[in-house]
Amino acid sequence: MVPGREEPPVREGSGGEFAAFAIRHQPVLVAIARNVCGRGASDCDDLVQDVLLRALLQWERLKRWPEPARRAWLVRVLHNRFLDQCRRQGAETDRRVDLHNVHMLFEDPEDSPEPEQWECVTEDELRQAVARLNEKLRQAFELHARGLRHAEIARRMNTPSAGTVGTWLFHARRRLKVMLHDTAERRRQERER
Amino acid sequence: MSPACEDLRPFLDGELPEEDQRRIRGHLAGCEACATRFHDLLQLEMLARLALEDAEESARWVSARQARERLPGSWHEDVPENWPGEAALAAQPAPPPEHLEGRAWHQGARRYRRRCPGCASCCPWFAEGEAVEAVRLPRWSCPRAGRSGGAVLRPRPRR
Repeated sequence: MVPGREEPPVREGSGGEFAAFAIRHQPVLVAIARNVCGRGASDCDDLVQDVLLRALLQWERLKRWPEPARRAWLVRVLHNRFLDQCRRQGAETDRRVDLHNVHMLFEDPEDSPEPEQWECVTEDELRQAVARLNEKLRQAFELHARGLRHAEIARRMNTPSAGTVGTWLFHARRRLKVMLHDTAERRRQERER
Repeated sequence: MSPACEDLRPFLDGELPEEDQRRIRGHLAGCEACATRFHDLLQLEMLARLALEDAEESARWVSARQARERLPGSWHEDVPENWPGEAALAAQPAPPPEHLEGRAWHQGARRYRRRCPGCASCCPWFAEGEAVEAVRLPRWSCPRAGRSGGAVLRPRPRR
């Protein structure tokens, strides 16, 4: 949680657990959705609402999962709903959920047949890997992860162009993927056994 | 590979103009390969934002890494988690000397010098009172000169 931010009281029990989950993930989902849906679009709010609603409907199952698996599930839902939105905008085929097709919410195509790389990586492991990046890449990546735009990161790091920040972020992501690949593979094989 | 594939990262970062965003959304709707890559980027993005939202926690990891880097031998990537800090290292007693002091050591050194003629790199008395020259040799019998050879001190030949 961001220090200093007021946390609303969370009720005990299953509803409280979901509230805590939603309160933690909703700002991140909104930030990502705003970037990909275009700013000022109501599609962004619809997308996040849709994802959290599906999480609520599946909560009985999700609450037994470990945190990385839940996070990966959430991203899968976000990705699939976002692609649906893209297709809808292109072909004008309306697959919006309404009273006629509300059962679609309970169908779960989001179950992945096998765990993905990022599903096998914990937040602590990512922090360790980020700490191992070189100074510039680490700073740029951390500022980006806190939601800053490239231009703002460039200003804070005294870099003349936002393009340079884009390049740093590109290298940071690639190195993180390489660094965490072995850990993820090992864990995936352990799970399959 | 479509030109849109190159723009997935700036697209995810929200750095593209509206027109390009629309183009990429249209492309993602039909391109399986790009959708898979985009999914991978999304997973990392979500993980990073959740993991790094706590600035203090992230700063702790960085200071732990910097502390480790100051320790000898820490260029190796696999530094164990429970590696002692500098304070623990300083509190340890000094290691015992590698050689025995006294006559035995001197005689041993002389014997070693006989096995390794002409190398002052390993014998502390070699250079005393003797004229030496530094030469670069491709391979030297002395184990301390390194496997690939290197500069060693040897007696200057008497003319």
